[in-house]
Amino acid sequence: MIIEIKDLTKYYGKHRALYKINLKVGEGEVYGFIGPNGAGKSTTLRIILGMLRKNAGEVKLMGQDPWKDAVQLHSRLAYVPGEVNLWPNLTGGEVIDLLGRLRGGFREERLEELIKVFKLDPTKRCSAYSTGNKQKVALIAALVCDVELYIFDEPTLGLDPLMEGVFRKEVKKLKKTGKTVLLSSHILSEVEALCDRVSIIREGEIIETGTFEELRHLTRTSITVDTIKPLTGLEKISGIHHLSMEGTHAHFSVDAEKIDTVLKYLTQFGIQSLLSAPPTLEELFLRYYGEEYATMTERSVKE
Amino acid sequence: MIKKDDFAGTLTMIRLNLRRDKFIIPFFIIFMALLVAFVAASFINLYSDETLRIAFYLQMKNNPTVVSLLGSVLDPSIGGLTAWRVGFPASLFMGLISVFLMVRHTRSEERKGRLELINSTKVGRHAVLSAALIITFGVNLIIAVAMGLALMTQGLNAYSSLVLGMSLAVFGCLFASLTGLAVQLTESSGDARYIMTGILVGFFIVRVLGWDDGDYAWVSWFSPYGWVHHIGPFAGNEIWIFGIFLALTVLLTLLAYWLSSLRDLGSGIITQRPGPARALKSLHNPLALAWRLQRGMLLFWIIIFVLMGVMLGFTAQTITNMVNSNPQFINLVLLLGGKAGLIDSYFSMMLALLGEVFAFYAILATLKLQSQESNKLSEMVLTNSVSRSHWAISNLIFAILAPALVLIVFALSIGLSYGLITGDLNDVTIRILGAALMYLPAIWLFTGISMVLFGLKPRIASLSWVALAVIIVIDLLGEFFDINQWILNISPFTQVPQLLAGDTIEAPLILILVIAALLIIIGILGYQRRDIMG
Repeated sequence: MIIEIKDLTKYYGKHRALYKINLKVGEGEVYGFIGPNGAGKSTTLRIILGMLRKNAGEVKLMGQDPWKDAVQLHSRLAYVPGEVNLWPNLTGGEVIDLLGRLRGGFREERLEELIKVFKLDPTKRCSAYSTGNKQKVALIAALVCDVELYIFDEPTLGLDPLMEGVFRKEVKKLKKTGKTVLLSSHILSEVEALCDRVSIIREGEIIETGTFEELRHLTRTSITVDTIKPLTGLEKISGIHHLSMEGTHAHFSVDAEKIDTVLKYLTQFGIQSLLSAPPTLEELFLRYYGEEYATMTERSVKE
Repeated sequence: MIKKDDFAGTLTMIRLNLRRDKFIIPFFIIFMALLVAFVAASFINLYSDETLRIAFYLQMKNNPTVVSLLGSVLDPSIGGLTAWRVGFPASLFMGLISVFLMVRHTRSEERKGRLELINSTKVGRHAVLSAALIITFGVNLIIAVAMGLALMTQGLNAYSSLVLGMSLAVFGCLFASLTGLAVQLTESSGDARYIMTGILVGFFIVRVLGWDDGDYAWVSWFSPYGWVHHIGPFAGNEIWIFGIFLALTVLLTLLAYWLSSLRDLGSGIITQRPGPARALKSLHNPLALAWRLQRGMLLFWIIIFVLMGVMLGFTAQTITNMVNSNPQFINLVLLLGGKAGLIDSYFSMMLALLGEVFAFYAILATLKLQSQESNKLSEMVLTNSVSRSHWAISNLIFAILAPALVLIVFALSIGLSYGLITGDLNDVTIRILGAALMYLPAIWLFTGISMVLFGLKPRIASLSWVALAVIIVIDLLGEFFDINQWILNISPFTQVPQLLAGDTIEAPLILILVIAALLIIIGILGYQRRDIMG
């Protein structure tokens, strides 16, 4: 195991930031860590990095204690923080060189390659970089190093879609060479495209862990159907939600375990076309955060 | 060129800025009003007897050391003494307040990108500069009125009290418009502050070179400090000098607007050239990074203090000339311990006045650790194979050695310039250097205080400034009142032996050194054990 966390709890004063977090990341895995802002993603990562002290539980990073053995461990990993800030009077190129050297060195060809694919101008002062360009500097400084573990906290925040694509390609390359990646994000498509397994965190607690396949079982498939005979009685079947029905056309979502029953029922009306979409992570996410999103939008309307 | 739309939203910006500064602005106003009231009250307390007061007046008027620094006393009344005593320090404070407010409301905002947000809404391109100027001018005028009222409560003439307040306010306004100009030139708020501090110090140097009893008194007309002095509140009230301030302030403000309309958002008139694409081989460890981050500040301080040193050495020489040509004075000086005695006491006084400034530098350098942590820059370093103690010590080296270096350079430039001008290159340089070094333990104590606060409770690390302020107040009190020795003893500067005045090194000095070292060590230990703020 590269990362092994058991019952990790962290308080900031009286505020409970993390409660009994469990997380296991194996070697060569690309692991997604999902949750809205303030859920505890960064706190968890910063404990793994030895920046924060834990209050209870166990954390093992590559077999060692991330707090006590921080200096040794850090030569084996590379980290990109969520909100990248750089020294205003150094140039991007200088920052990359500095961080790479502090981590123990890198190959020149790799640096040139990364600067090219990310289209970074390394001669600018960091104060002149936009958020996206700062992010690029930090990403290059991390990717240029040949280490065992890469930790990215919201890595594509501020990157344009093109650069997001470049980042994804680089992570896939890392995966091919057997590196381990821990990626926190609230951009679901990104996690979906890259990660083998995910954990969902909410208000400091992990509420779900597994592969996407596993998580999909927990949620609903959305179905759009057109039939020959007018549809009736769908509203009486349990497991159907958000039903909208008009003559021979219906749209609804259905619990995973009820799909079989529903399909059998539909066939009596003569199916003309049927569109079934697997749940996106978006929907899965909305299911957990539905209430919060609702109150959040309300609040923003009031303001 | 300038459209009405460009100013749209100025009022909103003013409200926003006032809300942000709802504590600091009242603090400035109260502090300045109390400062002048306090000085006036002290003179009333000490010299309500007219004979005593005139004796003091004559003594101050005839002491070239004092005249060179504070200007000559123009009038022996309580008001005259007050105006003379607060003139220089209060001008400096007003200048600093203006620089602080202007940079805070213009360049810093822009740097943090907030301005882009504001500019995209219904705020004209000149609104930010206008709001900053209006607030800063307003604060200066309110301070002037508050000072005037404070002096009236001490029973001083109302008109002259207001003239005193206004003479300081116009100084502040001049620096507000100058800062408005400087922020257009540079891209970073730090650079703007450096330029303005440089100008504040530069004008002070010009003022001292043109000191009132010297051969070049006319030079003082080239410094706003000189104008404040020449206004002479309670001693003639030359209010026509306000016209100089007014004309210059208007001119500089217009210039600032003009430059502001020329440049792009986020950039300065002086644009930054592209830097190196690769780092030098030497930039490979935390110490190299700390050097890179602190060298600009160090260079700035060295330049300022070389200039100050040369100026003081030069003034010391003119003082000697004056003493030699004035038989009455020679008697006085002989009483004090000969010609060397006068020069020594002059340098001794300079060191005592400037000792706290070095403590200021020590805090500034130590708190670089704190600003880097809250800007999430420390995290970038510490998530590599760099231990916390390594990172802390790399920065502390500058908080310990840099103030010492500046102090040494300062002492050397006083000694050498004095020695070269008088052709009297005897042991004076070495004696000044020795006396200057005695200040190091007290200076390092502030490195210790800020390190221990940063190491244990980073959120309150800026209390280091409060600690320094308290010490400055204690030292000031000691100047005016016969206060209890144990209160004076709280100040580490009380414990500094004045080697030039015949003191010797004693136990308290060593004790301060030990305490400073302990505080630094506790700070490092605490830093290793606490959470890094995110």
